[in-house]
Amino acid sequence: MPDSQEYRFQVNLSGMIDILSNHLYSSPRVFLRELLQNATDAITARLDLDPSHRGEVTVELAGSGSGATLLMQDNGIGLTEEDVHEFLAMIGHSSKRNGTELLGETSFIGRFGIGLLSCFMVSDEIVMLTQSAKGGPSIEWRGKPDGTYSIRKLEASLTPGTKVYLRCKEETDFYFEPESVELDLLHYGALLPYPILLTENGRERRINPEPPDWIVYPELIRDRQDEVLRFGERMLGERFRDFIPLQTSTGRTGGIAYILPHAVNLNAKRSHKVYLKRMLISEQADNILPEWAFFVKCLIWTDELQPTASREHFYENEQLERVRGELGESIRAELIRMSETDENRLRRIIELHALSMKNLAAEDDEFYRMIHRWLPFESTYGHKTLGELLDEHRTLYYTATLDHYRQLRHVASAQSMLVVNGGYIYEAELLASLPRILPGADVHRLMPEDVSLAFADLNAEERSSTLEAARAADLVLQPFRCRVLLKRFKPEELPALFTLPEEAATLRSIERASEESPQAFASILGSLGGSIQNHASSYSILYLNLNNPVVERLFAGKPTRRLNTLVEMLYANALMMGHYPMSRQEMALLNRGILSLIDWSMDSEREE
Amino acid sequence: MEDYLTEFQDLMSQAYSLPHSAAKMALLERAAEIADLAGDVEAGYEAREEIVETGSFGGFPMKAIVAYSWQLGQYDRDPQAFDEDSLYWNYKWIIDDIPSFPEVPAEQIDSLLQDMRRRYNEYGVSDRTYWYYNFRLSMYMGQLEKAQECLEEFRKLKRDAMSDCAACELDEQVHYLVLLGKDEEAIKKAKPIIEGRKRCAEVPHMTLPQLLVPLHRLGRHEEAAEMQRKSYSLIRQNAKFIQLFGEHIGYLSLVDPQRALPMLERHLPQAETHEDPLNRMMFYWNSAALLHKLQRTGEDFVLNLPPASRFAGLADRPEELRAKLEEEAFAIAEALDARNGNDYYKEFGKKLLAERG
Repeated sequence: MPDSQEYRFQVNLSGMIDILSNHLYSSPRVFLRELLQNATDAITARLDLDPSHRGEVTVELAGSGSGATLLMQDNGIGLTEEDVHEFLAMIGHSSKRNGTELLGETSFIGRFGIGLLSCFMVSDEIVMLTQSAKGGPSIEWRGKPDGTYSIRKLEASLTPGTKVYLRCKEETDFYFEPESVELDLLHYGALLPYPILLTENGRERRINPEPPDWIVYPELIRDRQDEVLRFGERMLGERFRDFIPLQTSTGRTGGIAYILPHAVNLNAKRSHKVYLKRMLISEQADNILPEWAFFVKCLIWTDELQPTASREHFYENEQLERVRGELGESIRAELIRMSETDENRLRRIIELHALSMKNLAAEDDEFYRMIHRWLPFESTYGHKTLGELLDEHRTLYYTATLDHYRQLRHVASAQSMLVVNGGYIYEAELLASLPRILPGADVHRLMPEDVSLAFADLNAEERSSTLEAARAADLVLQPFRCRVLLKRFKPEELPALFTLPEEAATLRSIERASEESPQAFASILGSLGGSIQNHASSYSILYLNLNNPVVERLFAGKPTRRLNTLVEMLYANALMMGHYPMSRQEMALLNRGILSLIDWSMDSEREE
Repeated sequence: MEDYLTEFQDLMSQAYSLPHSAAKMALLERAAEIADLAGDVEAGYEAREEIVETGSFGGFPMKAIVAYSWQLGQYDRDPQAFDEDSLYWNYKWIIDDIPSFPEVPAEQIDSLLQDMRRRYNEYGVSDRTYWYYNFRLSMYMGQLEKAQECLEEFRKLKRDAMSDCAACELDEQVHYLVLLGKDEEAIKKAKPIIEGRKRCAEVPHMTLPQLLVPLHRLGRHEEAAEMQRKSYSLIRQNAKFIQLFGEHIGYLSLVDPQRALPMLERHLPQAETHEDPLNRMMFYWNSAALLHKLQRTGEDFVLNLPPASRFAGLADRPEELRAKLEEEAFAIAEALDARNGNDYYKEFGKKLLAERG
């Protein structure tokens, strides 16, 4: 009679299983990953003893439907009887504390136990046969989810390694189907450096391809362009045209950053595929690269990061921060290299990913200095790169918002001012800091009220001749908190220009909303607007152009009876030309004005 | 005349692809204008719905309030034409930001709360959300006792369709315990958030920064240091979290002032243009504390403020900068206190400067 003993876990095993399946893992399918991980750890441990050992994992499927079974066999280090007792003790120990300790376990034996327990998600009995490479008897362990298990020493001695048998439990036969097992094995183990063999119906085939040698020898990567691109397509399911090799200073993390062949939504989740010790950890790792790196999709392999308990992400710690910084540095250095040796390649990438490039430049002066000439901007001189704009050798004005740009564009163009639209994300920031990376750069922020800089003041004679009418006109628009100023500017076809400083713009929008709001809100808007109203800059300005013949006639000599209506109409016209939505009050003013004009035109006809 | 729709949709789809930011806001405001110019109320409403969201979650509360008022007005005029669920849900975001503006009198805040209560009751939900927001608003207005009373009323009622998510509700209660100075209780209460079991779009982002100084006070230095890293990487991209950047600066001022300097450089210009005065105040205080600490300990340091900051000229004169920041923060505190009828924020600022400076 061989030596056999019945034991009972001193633990609520079903509670542990519940924690694993309901709170830790995203799906029962991870049991295959856990088994593969155990096998990998065991083979790695054996390689430490005997570097010439050749690892191998075999998976055998038998039966079908609810009678399906799965056997996973490795030729790793195997477990001694003490090892088996130790992992059981660790499970027992940590189960008394909600299992959380065990979940953070990183030692081989501790991990082994959790890996094995995860199989209860798909099987009501686990049978493990193991033989340690260090000697001792072969051991059989049988466990059930109710917490009972038995350990038996076998008479015959097995070859070193571990076999795990599972019999599918109700409604989990899906996880035992050959197609699904094959996919999962490839999914998790594609980069493993030893063969994974799958046997079903007596046919055996290798699941994972021989991993490329440039994973181990990154210096080869640049010479294997096509191979690396093909590999990326197979692993990430997208056809790429360019990539950047990644490497940390320790050499313990490496990878390939494939340049995304299309522009990316800044809101999109980053999803890089990351392998820890050659096993897939995550397809959604978003914290392993800096945020600005959204123009790449990466394959990354590492052995220096700590996975979370679920082994689906990494702990956010100093180590990760360092790796993230260094991987970012790899990308940055490559872009800088391109700017020196392969401008066209850089230009192609920037055209596709201008936004993330700008983000990176905004965060990093050195990068900005290297790349600034290739960044594209919208300006009154057209869509150009910053380098082309600088080559104009003019003062570079920029607006801080899209609105300001739209308001100023026409006047600025007519006067050949070079104004850059800084309203898009990061642009104003970049333009503001241009002098920091390019000493002497002539850059100025332009505010709507600054267009007056480019306007010619009236001379003394003109001032006195128009004074009375100008005053009268200014009074007309007081109720709209708009000042009227007489200037000369180009183009002369433009009779009036309405400008709206920021505070005035806020006030304008508050008032328009107020007209439409329910009482409780209207009073709050009143309070908010009230505090702004007291500032001088809450006035908008209507510039009237004395170069324009109609305006000139209007202001020649004494103010006419009709001045009020005409100024109001110029105001309404300027609002419309500037695409400002009008308040009800302003609409009423426009209606009245048009009627007056019709009336007057009929008068003048009659006089004729 | 149909071509305004092409431009409108173009702007909207550009906006959708951007994170909550000034650039996105500019596109949305332009879209709303185009809709208004064409007299298209439906499109104007759609653009404003996005403005409200971007404003509430991207740091433009004033723009959100203005857009929301307009939306609600349109809804009242024609309730059949718009989606009540999302409109009423967003009411909560709006009301939450109002107490930050000292120019809004307390009576108006209260009548807004009553308006929300009435609308929610008509909508068919209980007073739970009313009490919950009354709790939050009381807290922001320095009325901690009233907050407690509201909290008790809130706890009596069952969750319903207008309730905030469980993570948010927990976060606010943690916040309350922090304000009461109950460090240990706050951290205990926050445990599900810290462990990631309770989370949402803004939790743990909102929660973790408030726990840094409490952890430090309890001598749990390693936890605080780890949390600081994790927390900052969650929030650093969103200018909405100005107040929380301040918390990071204040915490680092206690343990590693040099590391807080890049944060000050990066976020000060954002704080200056932030629409919410309360956020600005908190950021200024923590920044002033940092500058004070650096001077007090006589450490060498360089401050490199971007030209976009109106304080850029004071970069070489940190003492003046500190004084200026304090002065502006206390001016906001005074205005808030005057409205709230207490001296809560003035005292809050003094205490913060004494502890972290």
